[in-house]
Amino acid sequence: MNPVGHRYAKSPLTEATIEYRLQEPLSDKDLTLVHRRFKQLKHREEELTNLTFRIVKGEPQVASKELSHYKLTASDGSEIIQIGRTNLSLSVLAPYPGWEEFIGRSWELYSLWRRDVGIRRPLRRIGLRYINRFDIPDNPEEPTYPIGRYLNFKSVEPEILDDPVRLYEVTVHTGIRADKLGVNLSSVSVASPLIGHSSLTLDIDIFRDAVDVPQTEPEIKALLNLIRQRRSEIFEACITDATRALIS
Amino acid sequence: MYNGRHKSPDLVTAWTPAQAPPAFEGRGVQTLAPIQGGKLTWTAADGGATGTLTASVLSTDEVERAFDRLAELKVASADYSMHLGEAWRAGLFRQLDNLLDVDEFDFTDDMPTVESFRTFLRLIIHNQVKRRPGLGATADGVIIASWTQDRDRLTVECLPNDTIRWVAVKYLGDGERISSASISKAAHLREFLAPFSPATWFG
Repeated sequence: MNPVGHRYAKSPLTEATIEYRLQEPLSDKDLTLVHRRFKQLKHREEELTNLTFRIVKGEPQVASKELSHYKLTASDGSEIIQIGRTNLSLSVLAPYPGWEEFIGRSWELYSLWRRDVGIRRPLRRIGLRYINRFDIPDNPEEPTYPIGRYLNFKSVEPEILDDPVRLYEVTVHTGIRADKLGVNLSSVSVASPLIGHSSLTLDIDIFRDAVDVPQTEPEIKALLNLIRQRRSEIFEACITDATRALIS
Repeated sequence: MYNGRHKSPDLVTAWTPAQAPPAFEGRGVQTLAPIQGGKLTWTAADGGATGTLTASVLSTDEVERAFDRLAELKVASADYSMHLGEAWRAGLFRQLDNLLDVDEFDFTDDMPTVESFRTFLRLIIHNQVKRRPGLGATADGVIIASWTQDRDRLTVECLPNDTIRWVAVKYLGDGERISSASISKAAHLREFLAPFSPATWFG
């Protein structure tokens, strides 16, 4: 098992997201202020709106229209920021820039967000999500997903199911009680971007929600470091030495 | 006739003389004809004489399309990031920036497609290519990768669905020129090029 901060040569991390969520939603005015401030990033903007339709005499009519959130994408796709009524999130795609850079960037954005959100609005949830993908070379003599060889986190099928597993998906919603952390853990088979390969994802979503959510900067940073530690432990517990060989 | 490309705000909004192409600088714009076929016709007052100039105008829409496609290509590369070195990827991004430079790109051509780009990336990964090729694109959006070592040349068109069309030219020690061309699957190019010593190009 590798220690926290260990970087694999072929990092399987395809997406990392950090999210800060407020207890109460922002008003239209406050959301507009936040959006205006984030314009200085000069990212590509998308405005996502929730529409409700009703059918009148067979024709759809818009019953309500409400701004959901803004999505800001860097020109090279390296970061995606979402600003909603209750949340700020930062996602980075591969290659992962490393913890210090990722968390530093999220902190810059958090500070920017707080200028308009204000320092008194309490946070309800803080979470980190890491999506990994393992590209596994196909073996013609083994026409099935060799899940058990690459993941310790796996399903166990009853023996009567003797056909090869063609598609695979497993999800658990659990947590770490002592740390008051919630954990959503999932793994899915996906089409591999490489020729002659099959791929498995390992999605680790860790968060603290509603109870003892830190509100000050040092406390938030301490929680994020704890989540990082737990994420690393979960990752290492889920993979096998065969997986480590694939990504080293 | 003014043939330069000119970045503009929206084509359909009102233009002012200040937004006229450089050829009009100091000449004044008298009238402005409606846009037809992507062309904008200007009439200039030039010391009493008038002349009609036509400018190909780069619209905001084109700039946005180029931005979007560039972002799509870079985001697509994220899927392959773990198999590309960091320096390799950074260099590739610079090449994509040049390929879709709005001041240089001919917008009558199709932009390089994501499908072609995926074939290109698989070509690089599955053939263990260490040397970055020159990058270009055909008018229908197919990415072209080319390697040159002295007079030896390899040119590959990256078609969708992992198909490539390639031409290799190599000069032997006695100056004899040998060449080959084929259509094949991207993953096997190094094998097909074995008689040509592909390390010459791929490193």
